[in-house]
Amino acid sequence: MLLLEPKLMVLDETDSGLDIDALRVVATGVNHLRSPERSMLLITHYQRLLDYIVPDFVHVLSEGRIVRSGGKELALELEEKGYGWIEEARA
Amino acid sequence: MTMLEIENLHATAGGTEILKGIDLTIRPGEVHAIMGPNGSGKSTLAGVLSGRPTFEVTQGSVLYQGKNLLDLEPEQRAREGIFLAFQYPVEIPGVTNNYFLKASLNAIRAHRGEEELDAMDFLSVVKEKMKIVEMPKDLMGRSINEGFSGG
Repeated sequence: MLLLEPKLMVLDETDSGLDIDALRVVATGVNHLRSPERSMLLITHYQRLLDYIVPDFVHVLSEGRIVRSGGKELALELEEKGYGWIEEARA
Repeated sequence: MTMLEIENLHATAGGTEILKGIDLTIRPGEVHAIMGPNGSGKSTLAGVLSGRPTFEVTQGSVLYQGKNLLDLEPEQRAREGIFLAFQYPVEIPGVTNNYFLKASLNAIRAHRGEEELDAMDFLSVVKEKMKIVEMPKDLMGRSINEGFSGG
């Protein structure tokens, strides 16, 4: 990834199955690639990855639609409350 | 220009509609995270962006730097500068990381109209990058994804 110097990076659940040390190595590499010309889309189940790679925007996907968008604090809120409150807010 | 513009994206897998109208705009320099419970459509979205044939786009559009992404083959997407990292990487025994990355990098360089790197130049670029993440040196001689569980 560092070598190929992409313009758009899509990371699909790259954090699954990684221990904390491996996660840090991946995050260091990814953070090193952050630049004004380069964009990233991180797809993740857990908030943990976002402790190391801090996003500008967080979107919540539910039943095939983005139901909520916000800043990095939205990820923390999700970690705390789970996904249930988003579903309830929609109802 | 925007980096990625997804508009009203609908996609199906095996005849079932999974994505039901995604709108997302990513500008250069931005880092976006998509979160959601199991079955919310996260993997389908990643699959559509990478061009996996399991998913069928039924409505909407995806523009990458103004180009219709859905018209590009997966390898064209890679040459245009899209990098996809997967959850479950495929092991390819006998093809070393070194060989695979050199071939990938040179394909991209050729597409950009740049000269191909020979083995010596390639190695010095790699050494520089590996210092950044403090990777063990034996990694480049290993087969692709051998001994990896993720990442």
